[in-house]
Amino acid sequence: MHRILIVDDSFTARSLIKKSVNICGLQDALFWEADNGKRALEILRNESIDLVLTDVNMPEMDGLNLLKRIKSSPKLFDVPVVVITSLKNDTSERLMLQEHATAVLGKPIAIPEMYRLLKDTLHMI
Amino acid sequence: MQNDDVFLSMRRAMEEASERLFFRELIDVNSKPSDQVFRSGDYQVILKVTNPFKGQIQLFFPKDSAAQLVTEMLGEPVDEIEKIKDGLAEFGNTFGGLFFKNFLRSNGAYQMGLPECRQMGNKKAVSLDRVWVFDLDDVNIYAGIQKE
Repeated sequence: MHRILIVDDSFTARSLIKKSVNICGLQDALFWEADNGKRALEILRNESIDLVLTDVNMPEMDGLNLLKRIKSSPKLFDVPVVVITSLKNDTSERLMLQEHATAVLGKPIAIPEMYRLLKDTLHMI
Repeated sequence: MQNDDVFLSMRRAMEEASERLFFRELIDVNSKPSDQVFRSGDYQVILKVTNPFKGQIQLFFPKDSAAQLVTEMLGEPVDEIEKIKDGLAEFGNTFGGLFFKNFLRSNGAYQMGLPECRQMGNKKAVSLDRVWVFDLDDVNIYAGIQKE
């Protein structure tokens, strides 16, 4: 069973991401939700998470800072972080990948792209 | 900004966002003076833009269709005002990203703030002169750009 943390300040966006993950074949995934990076870090400290799916533009702590905090922690470095954002362009994608994001997806989520990503990242069949 | 480029980018963004999020096809687009289209209680989504221009992208959703649109987006009944506002703001956020992706052809930098959604009390508070009217079958969504 895969343990997935979804970080987005929009309830709607979190619901859409969960549905996309379910559609991609992970009906039994366990989800944690956070509405900003700070809350996400609290969850990551206390739970064993297999994958983080995070937005960029959020109050309190944005997705880029969350990514930097995860990748600077020896304990969390190996947790894959996928950025899902409406601000995707060549520049932002390059920046996120330099900070060790696993991938950057644009909004609205394309299901085939999400499926390939989950397959590669979580080694789904 | 060239008006033709803005219009085409808006149109493509609305086509993609409405098909993917509301599962609705864009039927037609036209332009109208803003005081002819809004009613008190309609929902307004404001996206502040700081790059490549300073200003706002504004979207307007009729109050009678807003709950239905968010219900279609989530695939479950939505009638709470806060959830409607959240859904419309997320649509606006996605629309804004698609607009700039088309307008800048994927390689230019842009920066938007967090989307804000509110219900309009007074249509005279809208400072846009003209808006584009996007006909999504039996629902209209309105959009405009205000530059500082």
